[in-house]
Amino acid sequence: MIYSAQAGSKQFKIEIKGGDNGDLELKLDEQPIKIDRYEFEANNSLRLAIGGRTAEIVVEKNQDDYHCWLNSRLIKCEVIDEKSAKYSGLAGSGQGSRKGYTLAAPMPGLILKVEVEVGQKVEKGQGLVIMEAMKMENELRSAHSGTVKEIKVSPGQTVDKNQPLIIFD
Amino acid sequence: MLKFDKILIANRGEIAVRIIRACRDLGIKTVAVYSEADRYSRHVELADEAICIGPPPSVQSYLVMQNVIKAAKSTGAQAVHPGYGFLSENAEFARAVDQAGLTFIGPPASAIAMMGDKMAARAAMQQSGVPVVPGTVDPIESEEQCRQVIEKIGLPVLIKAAGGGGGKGMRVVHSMDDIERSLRSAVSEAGSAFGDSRVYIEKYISEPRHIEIQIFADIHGNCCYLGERECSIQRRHQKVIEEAPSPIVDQAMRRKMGEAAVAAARACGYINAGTVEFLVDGTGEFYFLEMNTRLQVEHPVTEMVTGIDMVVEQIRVASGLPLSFTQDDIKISGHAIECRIYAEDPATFLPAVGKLKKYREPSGPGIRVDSGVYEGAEISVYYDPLIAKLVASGGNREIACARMRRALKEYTIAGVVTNLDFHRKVLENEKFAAGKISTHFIEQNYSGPDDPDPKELQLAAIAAVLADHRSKRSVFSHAKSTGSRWLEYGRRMGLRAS
Repeated sequence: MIYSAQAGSKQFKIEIKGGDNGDLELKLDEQPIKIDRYEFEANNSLRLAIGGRTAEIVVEKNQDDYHCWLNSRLIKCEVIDEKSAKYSGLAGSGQGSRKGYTLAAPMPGLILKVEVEVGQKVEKGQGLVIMEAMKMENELRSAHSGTVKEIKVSPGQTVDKNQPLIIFD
Repeated sequence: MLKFDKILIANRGEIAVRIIRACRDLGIKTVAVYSEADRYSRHVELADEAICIGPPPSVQSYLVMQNVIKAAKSTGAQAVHPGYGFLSENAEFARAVDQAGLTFIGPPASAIAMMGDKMAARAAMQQSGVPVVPGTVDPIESEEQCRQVIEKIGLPVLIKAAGGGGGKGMRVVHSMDDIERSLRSAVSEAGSAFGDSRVYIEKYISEPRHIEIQIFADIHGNCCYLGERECSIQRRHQKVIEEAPSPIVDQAMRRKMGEAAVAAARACGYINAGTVEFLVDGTGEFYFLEMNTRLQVEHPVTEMVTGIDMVVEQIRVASGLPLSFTQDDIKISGHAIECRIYAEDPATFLPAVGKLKKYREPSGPGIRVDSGVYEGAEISVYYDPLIAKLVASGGNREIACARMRRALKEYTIAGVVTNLDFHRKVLENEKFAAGKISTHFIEQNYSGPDDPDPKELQLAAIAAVLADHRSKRSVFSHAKSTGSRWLEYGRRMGLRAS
């Protein structure tokens, strides 16, 4: 699974493979990193033996991010995995009502490509916009079938989280 | 022989714990008081008995004199230790304790009252030959009078409230044009903050150090000074780092300041532990600032360099015993430094609240931690957000500071933001290391904590991703649960988070 994480001012692409037999492969920005051991303990505490050092980190899940306490410092991290990014695009906002369905950006990012045109009929699950967010390309797909009424963005544009991208009839 | 076998501690937090420890060392039983918010506090846990004295807000609990006295009477305590803050410098409380037939572990009410009135204190100090900052003894009544004083002592001056401290009702005047405006705002601020709009004027010392002398007096006429504490590192007019001895005080200056402090204590008929605060200018001239008629927050640094347990000594003195030392016995040995660890934003210094989800105190050579918390404890909105006092000591200042840096690194607190990063940065500052400090140190040398280094951010990102990964997988693994606890256990141990 590929994740994208924003910790403080820095963005990381983190790939996790395996784990089913205890051997977990982790790549940080394409570089393999050896995790010797890690254990989650009570109170959201994570013990992590990695790259020759051991750390204890309290990791708390919040609404939109994780609060990581490391060396008595609070570092806020936003985590998005590839699948969820697609899913949240798929779900969009206004799920359930087809009328006036709006595709909104699930996270801040850069619009790479708009795959539809105004007036175009779209099937549920069809790709609408490709955006780069947190170092990953994500295809945002339609949660409903419908007709494109308005395209609010163009390639090269950066968008904020929840910013409307495409509005349907 | 001590007069009491049971003492009530009219305080909370680390200082209540500190006093309980001294009592225990002396074989004295303790009674804690607590508000409803403090039912599970460390001081309540440690005391032999505990009495609830009201709801969380301190005006309804820790500040209610009658509740405290009633608790002492009902438990058979013979003495009350007020700690610092709350009722500790309230002359009326000291009197009420006395009238209830109990012993107040602190100075006589008359000494508290006199030193509490800043102008009366100043006048008394001048009479006893203790140097005071040039300025007025009587309150300023008009702008005209203000001008006359300034012409005599020169700019800049400080307009100060007579009835209180903490920076309220205080104005620095740098130019004659500002007099009217500054005077007006100081008077109105003093009136609304302290119910007393009297103000006075003194010479403003631009780069002062705050150095205070610890004194101890008994009822037999003995009064000694226990050396100085350098408390120049302040934010929001509150000390955050204190040390003993001061980097600029030598033996001759210590004696001069010590003797002035003893004169100040004698001038108000002082008994027990007290602190005389001085402002020291660039030339080493010192001026009386005020006297704190209680045990100071920062008393541990004096304990570390003199070897005297000050709370034990307070109890002995209150019990009528003579001081256990003479002036000649007092030797300052080595160096000690204290960092006050607060739950507060390290950039804005605004108080923070929350639960201590992870809490581990540092230890090792030369480290002492005075705290009243534990892992899982709550830092609430009701009280001072002091978590602990971290004290490092060693053969000299360099060693003490190195140990402090080590301890600040080891200190683990999660769940509440603290000023640990602030302390780490100050302890790494070159000017601080050279002892070149003044009360303006923070505004001149500190602009907020450093960003975490990239390695830390990396680690945090990996941790967050592992947590996220695990939360997704645990949904999955529940679905194919085998039903066997042994297998589940084996999977958990073998697969860790898978």
